[in-house]
Amino acid sequence: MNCPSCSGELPTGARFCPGCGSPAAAAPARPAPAERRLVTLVFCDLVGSTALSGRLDPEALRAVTLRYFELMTARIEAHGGTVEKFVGDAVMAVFGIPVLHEDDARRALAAALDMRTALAGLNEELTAALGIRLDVRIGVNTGEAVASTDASSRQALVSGEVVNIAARLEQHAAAGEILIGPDTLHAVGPAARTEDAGPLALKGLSELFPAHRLLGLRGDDDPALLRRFDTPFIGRESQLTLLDGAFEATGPRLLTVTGEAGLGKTRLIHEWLRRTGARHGAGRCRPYGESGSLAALAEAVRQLLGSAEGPATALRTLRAGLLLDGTPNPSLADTCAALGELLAGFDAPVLVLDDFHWATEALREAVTRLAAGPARVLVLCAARPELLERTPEWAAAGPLLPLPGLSPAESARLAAGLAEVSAHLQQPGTAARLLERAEGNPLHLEQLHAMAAEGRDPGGLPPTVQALLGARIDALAPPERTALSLAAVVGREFDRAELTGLARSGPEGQPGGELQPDGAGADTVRPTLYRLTRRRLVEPDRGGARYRFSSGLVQEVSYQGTAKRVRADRHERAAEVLASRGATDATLGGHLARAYRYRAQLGSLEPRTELLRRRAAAHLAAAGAQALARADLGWADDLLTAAVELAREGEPAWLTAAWRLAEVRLATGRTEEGQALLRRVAEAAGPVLAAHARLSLAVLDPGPGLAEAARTAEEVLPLFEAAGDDLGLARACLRLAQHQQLRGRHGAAEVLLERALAHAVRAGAEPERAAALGAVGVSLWLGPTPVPAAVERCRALLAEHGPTRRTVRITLNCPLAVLLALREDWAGARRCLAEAAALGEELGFAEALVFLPVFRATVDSLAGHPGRAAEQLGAAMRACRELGATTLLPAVTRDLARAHLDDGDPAAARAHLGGDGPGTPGLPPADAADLYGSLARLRALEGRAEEAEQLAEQALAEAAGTDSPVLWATAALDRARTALALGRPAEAGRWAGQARHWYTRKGHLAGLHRAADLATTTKEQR
Amino acid sequence: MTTPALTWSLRGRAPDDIPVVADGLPVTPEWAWEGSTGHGVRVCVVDSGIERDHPLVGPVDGSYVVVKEQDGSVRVEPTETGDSCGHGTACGGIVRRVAPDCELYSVRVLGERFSGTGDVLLAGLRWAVEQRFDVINLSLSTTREKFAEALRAISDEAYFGRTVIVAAAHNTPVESFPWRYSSVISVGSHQEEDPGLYLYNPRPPVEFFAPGQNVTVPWLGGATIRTTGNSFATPYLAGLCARVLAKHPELTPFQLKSVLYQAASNVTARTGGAR
Repeated sequence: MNCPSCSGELPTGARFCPGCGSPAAAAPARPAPAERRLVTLVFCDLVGSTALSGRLDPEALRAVTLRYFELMTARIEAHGGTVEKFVGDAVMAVFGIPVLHEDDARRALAAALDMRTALAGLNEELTAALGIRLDVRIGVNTGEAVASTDASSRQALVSGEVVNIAARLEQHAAAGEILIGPDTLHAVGPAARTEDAGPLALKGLSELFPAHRLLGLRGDDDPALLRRFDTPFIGRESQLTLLDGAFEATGPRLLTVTGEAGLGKTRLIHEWLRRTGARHGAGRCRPYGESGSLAALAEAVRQLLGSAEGPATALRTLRAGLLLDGTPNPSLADTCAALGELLAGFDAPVLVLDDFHWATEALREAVTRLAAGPARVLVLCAARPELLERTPEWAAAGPLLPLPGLSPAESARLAAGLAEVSAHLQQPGTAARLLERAEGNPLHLEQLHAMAAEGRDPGGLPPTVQALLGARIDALAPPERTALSLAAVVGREFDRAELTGLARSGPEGQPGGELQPDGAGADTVRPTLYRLTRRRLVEPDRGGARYRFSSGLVQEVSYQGTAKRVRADRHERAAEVLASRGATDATLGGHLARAYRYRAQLGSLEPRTELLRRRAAAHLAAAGAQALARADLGWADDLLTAAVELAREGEPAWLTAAWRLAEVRLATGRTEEGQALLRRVAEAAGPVLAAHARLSLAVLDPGPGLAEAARTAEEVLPLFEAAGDDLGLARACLRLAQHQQLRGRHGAAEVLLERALAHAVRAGAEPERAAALGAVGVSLWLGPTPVPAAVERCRALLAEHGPTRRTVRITLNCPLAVLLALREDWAGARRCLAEAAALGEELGFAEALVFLPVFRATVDSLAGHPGRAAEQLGAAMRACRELGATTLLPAVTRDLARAHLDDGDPAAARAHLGGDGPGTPGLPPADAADLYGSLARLRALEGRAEEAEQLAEQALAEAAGTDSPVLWATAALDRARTALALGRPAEAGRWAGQARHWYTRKGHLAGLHRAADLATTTKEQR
Repeated sequence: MTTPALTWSLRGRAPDDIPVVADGLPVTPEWAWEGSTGHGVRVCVVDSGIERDHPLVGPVDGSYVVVKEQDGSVRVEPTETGDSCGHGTACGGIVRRVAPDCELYSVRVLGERFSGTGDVLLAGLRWAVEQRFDVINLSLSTTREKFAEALRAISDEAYFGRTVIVAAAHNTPVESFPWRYSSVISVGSHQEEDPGLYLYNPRPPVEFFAPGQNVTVPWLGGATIRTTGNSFATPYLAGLCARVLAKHPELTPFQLKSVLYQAASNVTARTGGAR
């Protein structure tokens, strides 16, 4: 740091410049930002103090109260807690402020128990001296609180519901009782001995609160209690082999197992010791100095020794120092020598030192000496990676055994063994989510599983995991902690420049901030990221300046650790920074939406909050439109739903988002929801958007022969033309083309489709492009273009538009399949259909359930399998009804009747032809030709000659009104079959010949052969 | 110290891949169970309970629950409550489909989330064995070694007391109990579509494979769902046991297992006699 006056360098902690004498003050002018942290509250109050005040002299009472406060404060501070305040006779203490410990909840319980014990000691004195005794009741609760970490400030350290509940628990406790909340119990785990204190009705809480009565704490903070060692041991075979190797080695035998908290270091050693049965002793290092620097070693030696005796002199030395109080008395060298002598008496003993990252320098030295000494002892240390960050030279002391996370398969096996008894059904969803979040860390998996198993919110953070990761993050220097929490706002992956930009856009990167440029004006984010990388909290991604969080849970904990107001501000700034870097609407909308939601949750009514809402909705609506244009329906649905929820009805963002959301709903089969939304849009929107909504509604209810849809299309076309709305134009042309197709005017349809295609391409509208292309395919099939040229054109369109478009490949492959079937390339046809079906499934296209079976049926019919065709059409009919796509029903039904006729089942055909007959109003010529042809054949089979003949004539007449050789030929063939059924083979032969002529003109081999077969039959009958 | 790869499903293999030639006289399905509906055989589903009046399960002849006291002790008592999660109803429904006329009983040992504790399982299973049910369906297991010995003892007691325990293998390749014991009939899933196909596994510990993939089963609230797991292969075999026992009531558990083995679809009898 430099002097604000003379710029001379200041010594650390200087309050005045030694050069010019100016105050060095300037430093942190801004208050530390509020944080959200997982804390544990302890409330302790005297029972019956009013009665006491009546019995004691005020001076005596004051002395007694002060003794009590002093005693309680001492017990709280001994466990690392902070006394926040005294309220009357009550003490309020918090664990987790100013320093977060991973075992804060446990510390709080230990302190509570100690407070009770200490009071018993005081009572002995008081009873003797004053004839009175004090009783306390204690409440303990753990949870997220808003905290100020500045213990010197006059503000309250913590606030939040967690504080009130702790106070209420204390009030509910009986004299001498300690009541604790469920999250405290979860955080401490089985080490806490408790009994159910029943659901309590706490003032201010609407639901009953499950409280527990603390009876005691089990043993030490043995990880076997918190981390379940009774679950099956999974994987780690190579590590066990390496441990075997270390055990057999001849040289110095020291091995350090390294890995993050919860990866299973202790469990691995535990399992290896169990398998080898080696004589061993284990001790744990502690984060805070309660005892001698070699306490962990002493613990291990004591355990190894048990009741065994050893060389007298060595034991005498050890009992005067190491084994007495864990100190290296008289000297480290003497202690190690005596220990070597003692250990030589054992057959290959193993000493285990857990949590070695907390080892003192003396302990590290003792271990190195022991391992290199004459005794054949194997020292196994288990440490988190910070051991090597703090003392890199430890890597040279002995081999390291880094413990990686479990593989997904191993994690799945571990998860399978977590429940004591479980049913053998597969629950893929839940299990997969847990595995994904745990990322191979067994402890995290266990804790997440426990949370799900107990019915707590499975998306939340287990208190143990939050405490472990929270403590790790809290231990970082301020710049690193700030960088991490800023990065958590950007996302699981982030760019260095984004992070720098975000820091500079706010107080963090400005003078006085944690990430302000250094004295020379150089960037501090880069070195901070380097340090975070070394700590393995983040890792460089794809080289260069991109990074990602090593663990999603670290990101979550870091994110949860900032106050919502801070989060809101940072998301808003992130949107600004990312916008200048060309981020997508989806990203910007996401940040703005979160900024808005946090502000709304905090009850902010500022105009800026309202502005955030509008901006978020606009970006999300734009992003949804892009996703829809890219035919990504699932993504579009998410984005548009979010936009519609944020926007108010009638706002521009609402209108555009709601209109597109309606389209998504329609495309994914939620027809009614889509229709309802469209009606709301049509009412509220301006002319162009209303035109879109009207056209979409008209398509849903297109009237006979699509006439209504075509009429609406004609009406709105000029509106779209005037507005230069390519999407609208594409759609209107498409509807008009479909109308022409239905009338059998494929030439006219093709012209309109070319227009539709051009506009769709210009609008970047994928579904319209796909629909236009699919329709071109149908006109190529039914229209005048001969089959070879049609196949070629179809393939050319596929090559031009298909490679990157799955929807296009669906809509073009279907008619292409039929075209291939026309020239009897059955294998080719089935390949096309299979590709379309697979793609339809990938995209979740509801419509595919209707049109795919129809095309399959067409190919089956052409291949001479009318039975199979009938089955497919049955499926199509069911899908139509389920999706409410009733407009397609008549065509599907006609196809089905024809399939039954071809299959020689006139009764079934009759059932489907129903009451339709000549004169059905508004039936377009193509449909009419089809219907009358089938009816003619049916009537002929029934022997109603006159009717049959008339119908067959009408079918020919209707077909003649189209430009489709396929329809002409079909009508001719129907006429031939009718004649044959009426016993007029000569006439049948003539019409079969006519059909052959038209089939030849189209290049329709399948039809040609069928007509030829019929001609042969007629000859035989003549 | 390497453990062999554990697999207990017929994943990726078809019935034709595991042909078995068995010595002995042929035992046909016709002889074994045809014409039998399981009439009079008492089947107990030790699971999450069975929903009352589910149309696909029909009457339940007795429902019991294992209750855990505050002091940790457990006891079994009759209950009017149904199923805690649907799993037991699914198993009961499959037994009912296969053996429509059997007597069906339920003991609840599982909670809401398809899981439970070892002491409750031991108490429920022990009680069921003491009641001398003919068939016990156990579509669950424990991974905890500490319960292994007690479960082995109960399984042996059942075996000698003429109660057949039909137990599901774990879906994940982990060690669990009691299906690993030879005194029970263990079942995994095959992936064939035939709803009446079961196979003998020439590579135990899983002894039989039955339909367990995408099976339609009764569920809570009178509904049905499609689901997957060895859980649903097991009651198929339990139902089959009931049919065989109704037709041949004097079969012992070891004879019954032998009949199932010889009547399995992939087993062909060889009657060459002594060599």
